[in-house]
Amino acid sequence: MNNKELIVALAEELSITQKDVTAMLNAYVGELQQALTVEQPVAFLNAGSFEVKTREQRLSVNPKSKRRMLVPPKMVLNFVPTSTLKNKIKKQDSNE
Amino acid sequence: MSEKINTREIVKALITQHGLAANMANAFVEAFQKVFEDALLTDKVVKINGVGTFKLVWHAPRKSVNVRTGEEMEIAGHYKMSFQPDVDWANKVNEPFAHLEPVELQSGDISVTLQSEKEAEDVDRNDDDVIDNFALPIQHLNEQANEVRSLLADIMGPSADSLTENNDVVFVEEQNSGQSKDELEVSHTLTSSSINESETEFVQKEETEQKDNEETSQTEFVLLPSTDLDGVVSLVEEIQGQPVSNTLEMSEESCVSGASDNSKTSELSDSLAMSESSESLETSSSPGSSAKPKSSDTSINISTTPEFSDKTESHDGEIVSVDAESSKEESEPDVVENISESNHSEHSDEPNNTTESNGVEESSQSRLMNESSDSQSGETQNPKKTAIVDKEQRRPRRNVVLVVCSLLLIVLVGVGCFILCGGDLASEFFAGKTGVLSLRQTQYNNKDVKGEALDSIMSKSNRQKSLLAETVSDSMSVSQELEHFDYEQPRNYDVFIAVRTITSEDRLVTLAKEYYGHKFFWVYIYEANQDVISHPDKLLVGQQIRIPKMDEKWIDVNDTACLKYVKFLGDSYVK
Repeated sequence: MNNKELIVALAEELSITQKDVTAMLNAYVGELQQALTVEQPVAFLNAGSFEVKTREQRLSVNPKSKRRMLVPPKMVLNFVPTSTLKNKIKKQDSNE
Repeated sequence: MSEKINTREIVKALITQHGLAANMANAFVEAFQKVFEDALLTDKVVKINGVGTFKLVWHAPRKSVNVRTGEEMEIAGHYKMSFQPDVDWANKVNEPFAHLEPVELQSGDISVTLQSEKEAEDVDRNDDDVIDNFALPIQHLNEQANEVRSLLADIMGPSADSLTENNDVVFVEEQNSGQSKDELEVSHTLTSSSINESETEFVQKEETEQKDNEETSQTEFVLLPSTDLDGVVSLVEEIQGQPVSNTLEMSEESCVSGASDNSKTSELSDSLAMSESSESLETSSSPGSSAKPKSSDTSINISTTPEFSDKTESHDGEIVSVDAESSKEESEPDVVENISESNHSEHSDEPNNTTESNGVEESSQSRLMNESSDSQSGETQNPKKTAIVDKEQRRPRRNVVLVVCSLLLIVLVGVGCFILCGGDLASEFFAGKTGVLSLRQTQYNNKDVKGEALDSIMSKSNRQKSLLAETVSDSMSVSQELEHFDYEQPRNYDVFIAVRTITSEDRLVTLAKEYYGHKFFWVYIYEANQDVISHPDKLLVGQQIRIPKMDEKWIDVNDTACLKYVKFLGDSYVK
């Protein structure tokens, strides 16, 4: 399901216009992004939470040129699903 | 990580900030939750703009072993969720570090790889990383110590000026280390997980890395004291102290050794040809020294130089350089003296060898000579004072030192050849040398009593320059005589002493060792068999190799020039 389908589904569910849904969704996402800081993870619905992980700087060697590079640290966005959602997902049967 | 912000707070923010109705916002979140979950479970993928993509990934069933019982079991296939954040959001999250670029490090550091391994292990432990980063220079300590040593050897002349310079250098080092230490401390305090702090930490590291790129040795210099400041300072002191202690040692020696040493030396010197001349030197200088303090100055010069020459012979090149640098301006005469003295001693080596004495005795001899000549100076003047005067008169003159060093080398080589040449010539040369020495002694005697120290040194240097010219010319002529054998002349491989069938154990070097007595002479075998041997390293089993008969001159194991030439030749072939 892509973003458009999501909006359509939400609009159907809430029986409001897609425009309103889009506005609300954007507001929600904006709040989510704002709320997320390094210290504080942010819950996403009841599905899980977003958190920021810090990747330390490291030395890596280019296997081809054998040059050593100091790769700078970076912040990575990580999503941790709740255990209930995880279990639901796990129980899902394969349709492959 | 403190408690997380839950959905209720987000909803509250939605209501207050975006003017949504409370029930509408709650309804939206509930609907969103439901739709999201359904979509995820059915479609296996949900994409939300501004957040990212949630995906279910199928993990196929696989066989495994129950760790506790050892039974085989199958892990059922299942889905797992993966989340790929929206690029914009990811960039926004990484904003604090966005400006940082990977920095290329200087290669050639083994310890860097060690460190990288360590760092890979300790990714999560920030503090440990910092320590690891700065533990790196400790591993370098030995290399750096060598560098510092050589640097100091360049700077070091135990002259008063260069000593103060040296102090300055040490001070600068300390300053540098202080700065980097501060940096270290700062970065230590900043190891908490907040963005800005760790950022600054990295920036600092990056700076040091960039410095590293620019000037490796410089940074090493800076980094080194930051970890082991005391060690470096002590090292520096140690290095500094070495020549100083030498002079002190000398002066003490001269203080302790009184007139009794004179008798001691005279006893010993009676039996030894070399110390005869030295004694005569002493006796000639002693009236001068008793009469005037100036010539005691010169006598201490004489006494210092053999000591140094001893060192140059016994110790490694480092001290040689220190020695050479220490001589500085006055070093020219000193080294000349050195040369003459060493020549002298080397030549005297031969008659001594013929009688009974060995190298150890020889060195003890020269040491005794030092003592005796030191005692001469100790009689009249405070030797420390003279040593300081000496120091003050030394000025950094690197070029002169280099020239003198090269000359010294040439002379030594010449003398070595000379000794090899034969006893007759050597004895002649030796006699000539003693004559020169006695000439110099008389010159010392004739010297003006009221002459100033500088004057005496100047005149001495002039004399010694002429002496140097003599010795150089002597040795040159000798070496010319020696090197009349031209190695460049074409070799003829007409006569063969043997024909060998190559076995799997044969090498050219082993053949050369077998037939000529030294492995270096394999080149002749190779040259004689160039038609069958494509490369010196490629001998084929079963090949017929002819061993040429070589003239004695070509395979003289004792002739260093011959060996040198052959080695050069061999190297050129191997390439």
